[in-house]
Amino acid sequence: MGLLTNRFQDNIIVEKLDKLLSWSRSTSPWFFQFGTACCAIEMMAAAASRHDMMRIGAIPRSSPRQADVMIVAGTVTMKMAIRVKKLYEQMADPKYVIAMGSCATSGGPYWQHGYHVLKGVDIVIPVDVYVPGCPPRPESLIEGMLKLQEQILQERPLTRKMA
Amino acid sequence: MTDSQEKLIAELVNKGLDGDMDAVNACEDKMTRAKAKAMIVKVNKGTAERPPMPKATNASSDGSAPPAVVNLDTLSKDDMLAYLVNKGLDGDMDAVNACEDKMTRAKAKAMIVKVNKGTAERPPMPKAANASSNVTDSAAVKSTAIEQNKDINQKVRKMIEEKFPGSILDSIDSIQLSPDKWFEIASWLKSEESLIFDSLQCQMGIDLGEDTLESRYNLHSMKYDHYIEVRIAVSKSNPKIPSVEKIWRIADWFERETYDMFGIEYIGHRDLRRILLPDDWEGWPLRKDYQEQETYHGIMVPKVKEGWE
Repeated sequence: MGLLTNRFQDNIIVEKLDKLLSWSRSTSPWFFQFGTACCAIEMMAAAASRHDMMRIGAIPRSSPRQADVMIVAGTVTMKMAIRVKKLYEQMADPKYVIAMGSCATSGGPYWQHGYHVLKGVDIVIPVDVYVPGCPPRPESLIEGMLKLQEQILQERPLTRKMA
Repeated sequence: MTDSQEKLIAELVNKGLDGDMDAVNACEDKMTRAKAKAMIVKVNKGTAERPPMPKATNASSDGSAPPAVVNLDTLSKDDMLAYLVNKGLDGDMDAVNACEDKMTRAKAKAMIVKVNKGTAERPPMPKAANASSNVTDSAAVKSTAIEQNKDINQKVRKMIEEKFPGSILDSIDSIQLSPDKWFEIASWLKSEESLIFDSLQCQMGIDLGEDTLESRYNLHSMKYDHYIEVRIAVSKSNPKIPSVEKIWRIADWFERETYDMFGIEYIGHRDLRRILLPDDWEGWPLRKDYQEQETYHGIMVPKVKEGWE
């Protein structure tokens, strides 16, 4: 540190690159803007001015290539499950999934007799955060997003994992 | 003194005061007769007040005449309005609501409010309606729509029977057809001058259990404003019905949905694919004997998670 001491004012921070990376990832969880059912309405509300998810860095993106987080907002039917899986595969790493609402977490009201509904989106893609509710309020979704941020912050992408 | 005796006395007093002393004398109960006569004297002297005419007896005395049925259609609009206002003020709002003419109904309601406020006078009951019995006229008004519908059902049944003999299957109020000539019958129903069923409002499928599937068509004529329902039953082993998609274009998606859910094949449909489920889905979900498939593209279809309940 001797080299840098007193050369700059207080506007410089020294941090590990590893932590910096995970910090920057966690504060810009751009999410994929698509909805499968009524939960999408709450997702829109969460992104709109009143709740304004953009203030925590979550910006809706319309292409899977530009998105880091997929919010599965709503009922996933069997017909849609294949498409959801395909969209997830098109996203670039690192990628995260939030299952929003009862349907996406467990099948919700279609749990017992819905022959056409996927019983939870985690059957086809890995889920990081589950947000319960039918539909969850925007506050819940933001809470879920904050939980995801915490989770990303713990990651150390450059550190080699001990086998 | 019992309640009924009191009522009887009140009635007799009123009749006597109105000059009908015969009614008083005809009373068989001596005590009642005497009391009534004494009261009439008192009222005439001014030492007692005239009792109000009891309500129930009022109606019964009128009811002795044979109840004349009033045809509401014969009333002029003003009379109809006065009649409805009177009915409404007497507490029978159902009669007002049952009126089919929207304008008259609205006017009657407005007038009732005004009379209650005191800004308008209660119109006299029109004569023809006055004679009517206490039998609810509203019921008659309501039932006309149903009657009309039965009529058109019978009429269409008869016409089809004449034009396409053997197509009508045994049934009481609905129009149950055999699928053979359905396309011809449908195009005839649409073009026949006295029917003009130009709108197919709904088409649906039903699994009646056993071995029967039914396809139902709700038809409406915009010109004559009448409705019929046509039912066509087929067996599950050979569910084939001629398509009417070329006659009513709306039937395109209706029939596709019925095909999707029940597997009824519409012969002659130009684009008969599943409309909701994926094309490679197996089975017909709304049939009663439907068993969902085990997997769909490697995804388990029935619930697989354990321990959630």
